[in-house]
Amino acid sequence: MAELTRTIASEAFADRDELVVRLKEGDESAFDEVFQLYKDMVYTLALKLLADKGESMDVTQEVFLTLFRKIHSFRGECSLKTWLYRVAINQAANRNRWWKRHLQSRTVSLSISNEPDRPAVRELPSNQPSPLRDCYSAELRKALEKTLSELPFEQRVTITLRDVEGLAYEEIAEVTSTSIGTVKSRIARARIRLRDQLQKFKGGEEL
Amino acid sequence: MRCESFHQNLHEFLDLQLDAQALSRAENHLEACPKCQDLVGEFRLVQSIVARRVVLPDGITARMSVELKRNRRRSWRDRFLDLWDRIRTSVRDMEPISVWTKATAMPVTCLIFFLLLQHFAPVQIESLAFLIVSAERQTSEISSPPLMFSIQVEQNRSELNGIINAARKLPYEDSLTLVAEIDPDGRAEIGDVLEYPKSYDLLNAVQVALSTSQFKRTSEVASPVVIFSLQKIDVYEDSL
Ligand SMILES: [Zn+2]
Repeated sequence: MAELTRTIASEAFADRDELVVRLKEGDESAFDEVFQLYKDMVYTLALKLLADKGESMDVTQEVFLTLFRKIHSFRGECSLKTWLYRVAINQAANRNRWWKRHLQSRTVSLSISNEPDRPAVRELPSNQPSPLRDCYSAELRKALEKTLSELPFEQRVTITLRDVEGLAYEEIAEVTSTSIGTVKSRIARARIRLRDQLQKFKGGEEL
Repeated sequence: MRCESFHQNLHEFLDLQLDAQALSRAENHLEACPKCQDLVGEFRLVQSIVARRVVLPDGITARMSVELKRNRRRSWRDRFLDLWDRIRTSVRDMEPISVWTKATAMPVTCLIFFLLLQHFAPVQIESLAFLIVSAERQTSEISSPPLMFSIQVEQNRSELNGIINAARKLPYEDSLTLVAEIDPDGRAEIGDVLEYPKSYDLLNAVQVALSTSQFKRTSEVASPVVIFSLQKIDVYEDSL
């Protein structure tokens, strides 16, 4: 298992070592590069986990602040990307709980407060090869996104790392520190719930 | 192949995680079974909706970029001056009577807070389950069962507090597994981390605690001994 973890860390995830070196040296352009490189990834992940644009933007900023402030304690045992996943998931989990506790009472989010009429989210076509991409309605998408946001947090994390980030089961297990068996069962449970919703939706449409 | 066995590997199939043999079997079934084709179609639709990505809007990106640059550069002196400035302006804007009330209230609040802290500060390490589960002597005879013996940690509060604090900040249950070598003087040195925790702060905290804690072996073994120790730190704060 240790061997496996190490192999994953060193091969599949080995990215941009030199960027990390430059970050540690305090190279300003490296900070920008990292931000530009991973901002959408972090934002997408946060949005899937929190289902709230303002919160997700705050999380995105927090994640990069954490990265920049703690880069010296980053030891390179895992890749920068894995580290970002973990930080983002932790931050989102914190907010998720906070959010629940405060019964979703609205707070004014700093990052969107002075952005009045612009759509906060610009959509990108998914990179999943899927002929079905354009076949579903916006309502269905919203319904499923709502279901996704109601799944247990761990299931949301797992399904997002799988279907959005395209990580292999082993990689997800590494990021979330669980077994591959757990990863599989979380994926299956999440998808079954989502498919149930899909069927309900279809049934509703036919009526 | 029947539908049931196809369903069993359905998610591995969707995730392209089947080996070649299993894949071709699954594909053969799928070709001949319209019911499973429908099922796969539905799951793929679900997948494609989940997979939708978003990008951070340009305006937000630009502002965040500036914000990050500023925050990264802020020195302690800047932060202190900022705070001082805020206190000064808020005092200036207050009614004189209010300033006095607040000035008296502040030490009282601090005192109460301090007393409360005193009351709640000692955290039972057991609640975090910092355990050294087993210790195993390295032996060349593979057939013989591992020699189990317990080791005691003289719990030094301040050292273990590091772990507690690191663990407290985690939203997750977190764990790590590592091999440590206990030298004759009872000092532990980490040889290898077998399972990394999600949080590197936690790993660091454990590293510090281990390197500064005193261990006592309760049974006699030749030294130095390579021990296989398991540390598990569980945090049960909220049910997620
Ligand atoms: Zn079938």
